[in-house]
Amino acid sequence: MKRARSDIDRLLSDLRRDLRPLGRRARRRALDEVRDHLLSAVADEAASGPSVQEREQRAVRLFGDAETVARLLRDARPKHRRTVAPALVGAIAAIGFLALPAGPVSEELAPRDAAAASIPAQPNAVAARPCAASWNSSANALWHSYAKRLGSRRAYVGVAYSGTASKSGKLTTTRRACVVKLWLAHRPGHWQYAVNVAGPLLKGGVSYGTRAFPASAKTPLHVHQRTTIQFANSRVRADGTLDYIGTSIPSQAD
Amino acid sequence: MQPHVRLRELCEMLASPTFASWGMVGNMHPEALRGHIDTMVLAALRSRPAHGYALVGELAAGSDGVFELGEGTVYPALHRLERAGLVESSWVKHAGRRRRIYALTGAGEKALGDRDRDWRLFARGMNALLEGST
Repeated sequence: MKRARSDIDRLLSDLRRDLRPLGRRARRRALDEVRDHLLSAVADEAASGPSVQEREQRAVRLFGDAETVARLLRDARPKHRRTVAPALVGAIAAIGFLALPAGPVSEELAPRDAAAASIPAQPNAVAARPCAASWNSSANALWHSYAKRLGSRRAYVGVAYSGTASKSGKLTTTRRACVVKLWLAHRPGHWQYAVNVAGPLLKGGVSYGTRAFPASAKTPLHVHQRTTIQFANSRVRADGTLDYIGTSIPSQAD
Repeated sequence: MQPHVRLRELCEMLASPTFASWGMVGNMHPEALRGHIDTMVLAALRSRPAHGYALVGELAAGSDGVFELGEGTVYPALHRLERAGLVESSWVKHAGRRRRIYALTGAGEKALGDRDRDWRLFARGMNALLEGST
């Protein structure tokens, strides 16, 4: 018969998940130490009579909550700089897209090269500040906890545009939404996740640009985002919410 | 003064209403406490090398249970101190599992001496102020 998961198993499993940003070696070290700690505590209590289950519960309670310990452990060590598995990035992008409010979305249009990046300032541009506020809303609690788990301390906040192009190349915005990119390394230019958050949304009515973008262009949202001038730095607080800083960053740092 | 007495003093101060009034219930905010935890861990390692679980016991005994902290928070402190070169560690086998033993380094002993001196200076100044204000 399969053994039921004990309190210790659960705590170790939570820690394993929360310590993922540390990398395999550091994570294994921490888990081995915690396991030894908890099993020592259970063994020490053996003489006093309570059942194994009670001893395990007590050991776990005294140890403290896995999330807090994991955060402190992450803070105590240098950030891990491994590349992000492409499949994971894809999954995040997909989840992020699903997190957007429902609306009439036409194909996504994005410039394909740097020359196409000169989109003029949008007349009704959504500033990055409301996007940071949007990230901090309770609707985005999922993303807070995600940022927290990653141990990310920096983020870019910006706005993603989608639209349709007429035959003459007129680009019409049909939708725009906030994008928050979590920065996983100390320096820019390294591993980031681009995620969409539910944010200010605009439907139709605003046209800008005269350049034709092929409808077949399938570029990730963050590439689209790079062309805008609305990226701003944000600090990710320990609870996963954003501290809006507002200093714009050059596109090459993207 | 004996190390465990110093440790108890420190723990009592940290659990005092003054510190508890910084918005914490029962014990200090982890951020405010961080520097003190490191000192307490260094002090607990002064007498002999120890693993995390033993250290927690040492800290609890040293504070007479006055100072309650999630036991897990001792590990981040140990890792931080190791990164700073103040403690060093190695694995040993115990009851079929791996156990990490921590010991003070030379730099750790010096740092503890410095912190001890700072603490006495701080306590002397604080005592003088408090006695003067009553």
